[in-house]
Amino acid sequence: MADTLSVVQDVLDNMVNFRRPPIGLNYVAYAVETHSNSAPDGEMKIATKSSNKDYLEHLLKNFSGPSKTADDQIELWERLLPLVHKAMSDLDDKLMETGQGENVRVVFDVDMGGYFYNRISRHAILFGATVDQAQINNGRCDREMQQMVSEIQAVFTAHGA
Amino acid sequence: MLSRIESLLQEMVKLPDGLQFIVFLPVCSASAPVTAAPRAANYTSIDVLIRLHGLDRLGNTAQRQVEIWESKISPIAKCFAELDKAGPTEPDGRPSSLTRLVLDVEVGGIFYATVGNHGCVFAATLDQQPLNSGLAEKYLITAVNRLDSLISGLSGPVCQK
Repeated sequence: MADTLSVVQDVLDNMVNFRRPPIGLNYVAYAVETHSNSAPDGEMKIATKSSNKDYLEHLLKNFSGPSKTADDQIELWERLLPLVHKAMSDLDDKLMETGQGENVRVVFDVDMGGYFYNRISRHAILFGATVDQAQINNGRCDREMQQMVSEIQAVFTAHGA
Repeated sequence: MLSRIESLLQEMVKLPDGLQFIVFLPVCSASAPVTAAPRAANYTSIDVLIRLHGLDRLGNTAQRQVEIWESKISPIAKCFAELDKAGPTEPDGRPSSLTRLVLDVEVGGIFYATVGNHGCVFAATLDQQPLNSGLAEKYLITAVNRLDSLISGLSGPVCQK
């Protein structure tokens, strides 16, 4: 699993951290559901993540209002991740009756940027976020998410995980 | 006013390879039954896809599919409101403002979006292709923008007294 995770880390870094700006996603996390005595229903834990903090800092400087660092913004996104997962799992049960199956990909478009939630398997997800609205509007973030999902699925197939 | 909104919605569901059902939920009639809200459905197209996906074997008809979608508006609206509330502040310090939710499910997609301060739109399709191509999202954004312009530019009540 450690080897597989390091390859997943490469996938995330190659998309978010090692590219020259402008890039779409500012942050991405691969999270897996873990079960414990304190969380028998499962809790989303970030297994690996990547961000481009310098570019995120640069984008955050363009906004008026109280100054926020890249770390502040990432912390807020990480607090949101388990809430989104819980909301989507709850919604799955309600959507089954439509005959359309479970949520596979969810886009949350907020005023300034957005979040992406893509299911990789029943117990693993990819969560991405950006503060750059233009990259939501032109579909770039969505494409980046889908490319990483395909690559991660290929990694797990190749590693037999 | 209501007939103009309904005409616009009718126009949206007639677009090829797009949304099959769309409802505008005015903010002023939040407590009114969903069935009273202006809506449009492309029953012919829904019927074709019901048979294509084998949902007819579950006893679904186009009319029944629309009723199922209608019954999902309330839980999705609730989920939307909760995630809007839970979202981090915008980079400029304003409270989070979720404007659009795209649920890409295994068969087609379900959408929920705000229309300025006028209300929300719920839309759905059983067709996966426009989700993959981004056409369904494009049509949703078009519908939202056109509804916003229409309602902002015209005088007269959106809600029936």
